[in-house]
This record gives sequence, C-alpha cells and structure tokens, in this order.
Amino acid sequence: MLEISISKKLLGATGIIDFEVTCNFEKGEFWTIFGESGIGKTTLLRMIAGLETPDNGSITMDGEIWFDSKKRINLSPQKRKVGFVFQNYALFENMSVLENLLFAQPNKNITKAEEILEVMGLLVLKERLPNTLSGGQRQRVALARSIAQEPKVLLLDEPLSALDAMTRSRLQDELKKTHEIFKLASLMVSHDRSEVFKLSDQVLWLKEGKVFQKGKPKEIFLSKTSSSKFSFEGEILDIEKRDIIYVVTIGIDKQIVEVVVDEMEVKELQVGSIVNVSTKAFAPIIKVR
Amino acid sequence: MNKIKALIDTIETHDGITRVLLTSGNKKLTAITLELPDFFQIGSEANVIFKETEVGIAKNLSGEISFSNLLQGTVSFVNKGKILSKVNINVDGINIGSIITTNAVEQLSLESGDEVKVFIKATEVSLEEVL
Repeated sequence: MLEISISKKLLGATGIIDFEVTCNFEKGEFWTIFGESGIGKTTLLRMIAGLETPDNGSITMDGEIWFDSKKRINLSPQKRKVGFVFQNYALFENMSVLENLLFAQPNKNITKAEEILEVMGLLVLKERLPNTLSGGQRQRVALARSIAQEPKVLLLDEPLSALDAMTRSRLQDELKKTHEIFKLASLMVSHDRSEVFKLSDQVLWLKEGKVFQKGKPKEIFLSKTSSSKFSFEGEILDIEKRDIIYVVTIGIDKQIVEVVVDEMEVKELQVGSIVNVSTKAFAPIIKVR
Repeated sequence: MNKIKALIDTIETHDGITRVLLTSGNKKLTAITLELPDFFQIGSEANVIFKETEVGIAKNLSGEISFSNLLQGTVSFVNKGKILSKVNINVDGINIGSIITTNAVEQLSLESGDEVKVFIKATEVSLEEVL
C-alpha cells in the first residue's frame, strides 16, 4: 500500500495554493486524480516519483519510507520503484522497442521483456524503431517500458490525451487490462470524466489543493443533490428568446446542446456561466448508430 | 422550473426503481426515480421539481386519468405566444407554470380565474435536496 500525507506550497494560476493531501492507495487499485488544471495533480505524481520534494509529510510504500520530512529521508527517483507515463513519452528513438524495454529493466532480462510485450500485444513490433510507430503504438510501448521497470506504483499523467478518440478508447481498455494483469497501484491524472468512469476503481478529486472527494466514480460523479441520473457539466454559450420561451445553448465537452427554459429561470443564467444540465433517466432516447 | 417543497411519506424500492410519495399541505405528490441518494429519507424534506413543459392542464375534467400527480388550482395569468403559451396556475398559494401550445389554450379557452386541474407524470418529476 502506498501511504501519502504531504503538504507543499504551490504557485497556482490564482496565487499560492496550500497543497495538502492525505490518501492511501492499495495495490491493485486504479486511482484517478481528478480536478481542474493548475491545482497540483501533476505535482502530486511528481512528488510520489521523487521528482519534486514536499515541504512536509511522508510517503511510504509497503512500509518502506520514500520520503519523510521529519526523519530527513528522501529517496532518489531511481530507488522508488515507480513507472511514469506522460502525455508525450520520450522513447529512445535510436533503440528498438525491445531495447527500449531492456534499457528500463533493472536486470536486463530478454525473456521477461518479451513476456511484457506479448501480454500487451506488442511482440510483433519488438524490432521496430519508435519513429516507425503510430501515436497509439508509441504510448503502448511507453506503458510497456514503464512496466519493465518492475514498478510498485504506476503513475500516468494524462497518458492518452494526445490521441484521437478511437485510439484513446482502445488504449483505455488496454490500460485497464494491463493494470489488472500486473496488479500495480496505478494513479492516473485525468480531467475526462468518461475516462475516469471507465478506468478507475477510486477517484481522488482535488479542489484548491485539498481533497474535495474520495470514492468510487459512480458515487462521486452522479449528481449529489438531486435524483437526476442524466447529468452533465457545461458552459452557457448563448441565450435566445423564441416565442414565449428561451433557448439556452450549452457546450458540453465537445458537443453543443440546446435546452428550453422558462423566463423565470433565464434570469439566473448568463453566457459564460458553468452549469449543470440534467434530466431524468426516463427521458433520453437512445439510438444505435 | 417548478419547485414544490414537500415531506417524504413513503419510499418503496423494487429492483432498483424507487417510488417516492410526498405531501405538501393537502397535496399528494409522486416521483419515480432509479436509485435514490441516501439523504432522501422518510420524514425528510425534498424539493419536487419539474419543467413547465411537462405540466398538462385540464378543464371540466371527468373520468379517470393515469397521471399520478393531479393538482387543483386557479389560472392566474396566461402569456400567449404565437405557438407556445405559458399558463400560471395558483395551487394553494404556490405558482405552477405550464407551457402548452397556444392552440390548446384556445381550445380550452383558458382565462384568468378558471378552475383547472394540473397534471404531471411521476417519471418526469425529480427530487432535489433542500439546501
């Protein structure tokens, strides 16, 4: 189990943030660190990896102290046994896929490296150079490489955000499968709710540097104050009066929707506001495309 | 959005579908939802909310109707548009808005002071925590 209790002053978008997080991550659990940008999600991963130092607190993995401000312990990143995958992972371009994995391994073991490639369906690509691979393949190799390090904790910083929707969806499935096979404690930074829903066992939702909510995605994301099941967050793009009603245009993720509202309700709304759009689970119509 | 504050009388769940019966004054209300958040308990308050576009109106209604939510009120104001109209109904001091077709307003010849029945399907009613 990875046990974290750390604090650090961060320079955020709106000034100094007192970052303060306490959380335990069990092995085999897939966690998502969720929240707006600039509130320390990536910094949290970097502190776990040893790339940044907390001001105070401790980080312990299976009883081994990685960081303790009181005991003045601060293990180097190499000694922490973490795998780290970024949005744009730098593979060694002059090495083949297999060599990239071997380079990351603590005790160069070809059989083991090939096993990992096999499990992840990459064995046919083992002799290829990274620049001959697609974006999706490169991220899979990056993931395989971080697994080859035999980490106890896998840190994923928006690893799929640079990929197109289809590749992304496929890689989400593979990521989930890989996590289950290797039984790591995985922590992924993401602000894509559907991705969070698909992958995570647990969500750590950060707001202004503090833990806002912690729990299963369904408990966290389904509306907390209402019985509505069809609920999205969006931004008001336009409000228009038509006949005696008002039509509010709202951008939700990459989609645009229109919602009819009454004149009494429209008084509370303005263009640019972030709103929750919901309806009952009984109303929507589903059609297969 | 119409909003009526009410007390939860009964919560009946079967197979992940919940029927909630509520009282507000002498009005009985029903909501059908899927799983109900934990803070909705028997005896606790909830806001019963539904859109104006989900509210039907009847005048001189006789016979029976399947709608679970049936309220008696008086038309206080009609705002007629070309295609749609908004009818405000006073139900025991609470204003209920209904957006129906102007055609329907004319068919029923709805005017201020008319005694009407207002109905809302239970599956169109949402419950919201009273904050």
